[in-house]
Amino acid sequence: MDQIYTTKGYVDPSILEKKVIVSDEPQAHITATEYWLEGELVRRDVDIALKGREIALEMANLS
Amino acid sequence: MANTQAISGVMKQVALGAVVDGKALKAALYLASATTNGSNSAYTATGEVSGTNYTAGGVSVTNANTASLTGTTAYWTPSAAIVYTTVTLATAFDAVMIYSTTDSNRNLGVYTFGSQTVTAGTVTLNMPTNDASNALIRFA
Repeated sequence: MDQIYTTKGYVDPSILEKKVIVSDEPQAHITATEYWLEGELVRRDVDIALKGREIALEMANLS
Repeated sequence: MANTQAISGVMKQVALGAVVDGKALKAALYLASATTNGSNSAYTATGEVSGTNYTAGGVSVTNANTASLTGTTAYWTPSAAIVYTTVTLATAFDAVMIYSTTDSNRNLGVYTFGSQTVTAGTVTLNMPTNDASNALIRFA
């Protein structure tokens, strides 16, 4: 398996504990992937799926 | 059949196209403690994140799309995800500003999301489907 980059340099992912944290916010769906080595966070990636914004245009009545 | 008061769809498309079509865009990240919003007329370094492998001003945005129109909704979305590779951003951030370097760093929009940090990793901002119901910017 390919090694992954961490704060400790490149390491074999098999020695890391992986945690995936998913949250759904009003403006985005977020997936954070954490890699821990002996209780220390050594890598954290964040994948953010942005949700679009609708802008309603208004017009005035003729006076 | 009665007449209906309305702003025309094509006017919305032309207005949106004037600020996005063919423009060189960038995306900068902002700290959760910052106050960046729609009142910022241009990119600002105030409140921008800093950290390993993050360059002030952020990264380029792939902009192969032009403003489109379906019905009376004009819309536009960057044509690829925005990616910050192998960065460490230890202080929480929760927003991205997309701005036009073609037009004096004009602020096109600030998009918020849940507060995050990154450690020796990658931030990927995935774009919604570019259609009238989901696009990143929609003039309805």
